[in-house]
Amino acid sequence: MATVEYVDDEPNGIAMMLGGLIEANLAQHPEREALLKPMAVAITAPDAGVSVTIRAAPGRVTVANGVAGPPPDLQVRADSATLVELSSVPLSLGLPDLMTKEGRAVNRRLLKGEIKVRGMVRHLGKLARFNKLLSVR
Amino acid sequence: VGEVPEFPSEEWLNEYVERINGSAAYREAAATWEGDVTYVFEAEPDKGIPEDLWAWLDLWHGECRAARLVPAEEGEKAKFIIRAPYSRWKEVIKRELDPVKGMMQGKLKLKGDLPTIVRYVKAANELVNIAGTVPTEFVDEKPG
Repeated sequence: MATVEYVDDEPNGIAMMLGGLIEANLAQHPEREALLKPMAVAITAPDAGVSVTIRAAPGRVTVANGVAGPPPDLQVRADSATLVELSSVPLSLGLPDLMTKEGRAVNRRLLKGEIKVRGMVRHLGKLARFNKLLSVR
Repeated sequence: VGEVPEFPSEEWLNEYVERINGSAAYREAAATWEGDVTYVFEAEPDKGIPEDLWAWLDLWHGECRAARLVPAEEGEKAKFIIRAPYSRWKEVIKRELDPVKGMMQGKLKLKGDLPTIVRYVKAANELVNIAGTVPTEFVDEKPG
């Protein structure tokens, strides 16, 4: 079974939340282990003043406080509540499903700049895999 | 004229339960929720909380069937445990600290199945909103 490892002795709150979510999802949906291909995603919640970097590789996820290590493929920036909501948005091919009102709401917030995803165009496949990894649906 | 309940206390919890059960918004958001929750108000002796207090709530399908202060060994058995020092809870109740933001900052610690909590984040927010409506006298703000 895939492992989720925390780089820091004292993981910060966002690391515990997102790392814990991935850990629980992998335990409850072992088939999601297939999503663990190399990728690095940094996530920042500016309202809370916290960041986390999540790196995936086959069989392994590492979670580090802050934006740490080599430059990530994707950088996501949104407030705390939005980050949590993103995990429960219906997905279609790993991206917010525009056939649903929740999916359209995410799209609107992307357009307004309330959710920022740097690297989205270049790494769309990685973003889709990451979304599936975090999804609670 | 009723007295304003002190937080934390059994009286405050009773008032909280009454308001949870009177909330249509909570009933709707938690309609399929199943599982008990324990809030741990961690000790701050200088603020009048000499030891950790465990408040257990039996939440089921949009209502609170029971709530009481329980010993730690009983509170630990709950499906979900949210813990923070007393003064953090006070900030949450006064709506000075958003609970999701507090969790991201590590100010509130959550134990339990995270995907379930994320699915019911609206219900969790309602519980916090309701707590903010309970007339409250904080133990460290009591006169004399």
